[in-house]
Amino acid sequence: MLTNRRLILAHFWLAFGSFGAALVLGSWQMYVRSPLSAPIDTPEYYYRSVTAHGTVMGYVFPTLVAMAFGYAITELSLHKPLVGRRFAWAGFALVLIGAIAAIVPVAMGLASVLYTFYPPMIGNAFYYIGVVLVVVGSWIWVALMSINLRIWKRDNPGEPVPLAMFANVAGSYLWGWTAVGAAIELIFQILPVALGFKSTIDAGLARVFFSWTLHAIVYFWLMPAYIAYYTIVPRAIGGRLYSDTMARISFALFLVVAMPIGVHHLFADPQVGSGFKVVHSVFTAVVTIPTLLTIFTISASSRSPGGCAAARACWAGSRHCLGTTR
Amino acid sequence: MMPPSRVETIDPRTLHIAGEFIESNLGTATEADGSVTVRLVAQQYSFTPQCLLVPADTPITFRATSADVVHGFLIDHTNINTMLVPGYVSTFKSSFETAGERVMPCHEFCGTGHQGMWAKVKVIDKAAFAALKSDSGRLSCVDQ
Repeated sequence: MLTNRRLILAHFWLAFGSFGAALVLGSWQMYVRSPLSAPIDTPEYYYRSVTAHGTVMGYVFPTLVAMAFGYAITELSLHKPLVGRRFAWAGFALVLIGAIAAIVPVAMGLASVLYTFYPPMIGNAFYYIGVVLVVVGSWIWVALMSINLRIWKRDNPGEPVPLAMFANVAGSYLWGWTAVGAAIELIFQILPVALGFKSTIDAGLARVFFSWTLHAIVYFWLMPAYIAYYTIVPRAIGGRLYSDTMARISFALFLVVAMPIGVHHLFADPQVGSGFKVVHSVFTAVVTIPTLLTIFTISASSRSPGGCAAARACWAGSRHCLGTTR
Repeated sequence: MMPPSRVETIDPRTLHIAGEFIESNLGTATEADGSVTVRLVAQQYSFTPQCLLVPADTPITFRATSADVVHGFLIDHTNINTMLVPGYVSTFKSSFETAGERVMPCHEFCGTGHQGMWAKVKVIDKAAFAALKSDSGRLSCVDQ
């Protein structure tokens, strides 16, 4: 039962609206890089476009999708209206204002620094302020996920948390923590220079802070997909989840091992020593455990009797499998 | 072959006026043990020297840094690949088996001129390299 459809749809509309614009830019970029000659093919416009495309695809679109998905999961799996609806709207407003504040200077060609920022290159301060607002908006969502879980646990003592909500909160904590890296880089290193208070930046340190977040941006995509694999897919194919415990272990493991592994994006960097590179290689290798657990569990779920029948029906081209999703 | 693994810092503001990366010390230097050391600086939007001259079949240590923003150091058809971050020295050991010319594009976005930032690497026969002389003791192929 969804009582906050408008809130959830507002997130999805803004997400997919900006995604549509990013698709157009991305297509034009491919055309520029192709042997065909593209209109307005200048580096200034190209990097302007890459910055806008990266900012939407890296921050705005995944953030809004994860937020909308999280609000929907909260209501559907806990069977109660979302607590903190006003705060959720405030978070949405921050993301919207941040996205506009960031994209205007980029469109004007004042911040062609790509979504990875690349200090000591410096763009217009409003670009960075916009990205910070998007992150702060998403932190409101992280807090709301935690609060809703806590209230449900208080009202349902001893009951296991529904799997979808468990995974959703794990994903939100992962983002809440990993977004701190880019926020530190923006607030304490880049913005003081962009606003003219300072004239130097430790570029190596900035890259380390950014890697803390950079890696997790991938997870911001992956977590909603995994939640769908564990909760929606088994039901859609008429089977059942092979192991609830395995699912919970996977999400808990993702939360723990994915928190500190961003340095694997810096293996070719001179500001990180070999010791940390080895440690991060090990952590990165450990990510295979929850990944393999997921592959195993989802494969096993789709091989359960109901799953097999539904899969056969799908292969036969029957509409039966669509019926089972209802 | 290992990625850069030793953290070494340098002040990018005085790079051109003092220390290891002054202009007269850039290029290829022959060491007492027969190996060579190549020193170079990256800046928007070129490398100095713009053409690296190195002997084939010889251990090479690259030492490079940036004078301004983050750049990338990559030599085509080799696994020489490191970031050049202002304030840090990137060190990389390698060698070339055969003589020939290779391209060296900057592979990290460094501004609107990034796509024009290319240098060349000329690998020549070991004996031919040993026969070359230079007043500064540093060799490059910028004048060839």
